[in-house]
Amino acid sequence: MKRILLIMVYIALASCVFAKESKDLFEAYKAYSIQIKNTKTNFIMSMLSKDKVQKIKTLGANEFPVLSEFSRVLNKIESHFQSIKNNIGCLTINGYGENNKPIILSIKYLNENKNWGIDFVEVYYADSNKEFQNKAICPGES
Amino acid sequence: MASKIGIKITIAKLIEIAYIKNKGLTTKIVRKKGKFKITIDQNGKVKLHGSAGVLAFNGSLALEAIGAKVKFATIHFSKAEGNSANYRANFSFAGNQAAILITGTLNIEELITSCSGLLCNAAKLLNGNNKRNEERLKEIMEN
Repeated sequence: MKRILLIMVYIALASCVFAKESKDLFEAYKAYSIQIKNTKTNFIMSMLSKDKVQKIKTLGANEFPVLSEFSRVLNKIESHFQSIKNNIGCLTINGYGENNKPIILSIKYLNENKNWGIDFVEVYYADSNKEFQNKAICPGES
Repeated sequence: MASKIGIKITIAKLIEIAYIKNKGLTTKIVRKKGKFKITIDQNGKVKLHGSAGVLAFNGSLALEAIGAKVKFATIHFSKAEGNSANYRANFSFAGNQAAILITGTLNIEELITSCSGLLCNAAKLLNGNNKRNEERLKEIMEN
């Protein structure tokens, strides 16, 4: 009985840790969109993966135009989906940009020290909204 | 059978399409100090790679002009003198067609600024075989 109780407490604690570490990636995207407009550099850097922060420090922010532009492309958001597996989170947002063009935004996040940082982004200009995704897709660098 | 000049014109068209899709982002990617690349997959999906991200679109219509089904392609660009960029393109085709490797130089600035008006863009999009545009792209890519 004692053992069962201990297991239950362990599961409950584990759930709490998971809840703390898991995050609504769409909220993270919205926060990034606001901060990039306010150009709060330090805060923006804290929203990127460590690898990208290191590369920006080495190469300069101008070498990373997608990171500075992607959150501005959507004027209207239609739907969004996220998936989290281990330390990788993927967020896909369907929406419309300039001249009502359908756009699918896919963002790969890395969880490092309980912080979800943006690691890679794909801005896909769809031919029509029929291409809109109904699940999260992870953008690949290849 | 794919021709080298057909591929060169298609490369220029793909940059133009990217520019039409997102002028600001494309300009920043192609003008940055370092290298950039374009990749094409078997479905005609074109990706303009900036660091840490890509601008992507369906390039099937522009790829049709090559006259052969592209299996995959990679075009690497590196900064040359002035507004020019050196490129090295590797195209693989479906079937038994031999792969084609092309190198050259193009004036990126000229390419993205010579035809940016709304009407001009619309004409290019509506008519993939626009003769004047083809000639202009040929000139830019043959430099």
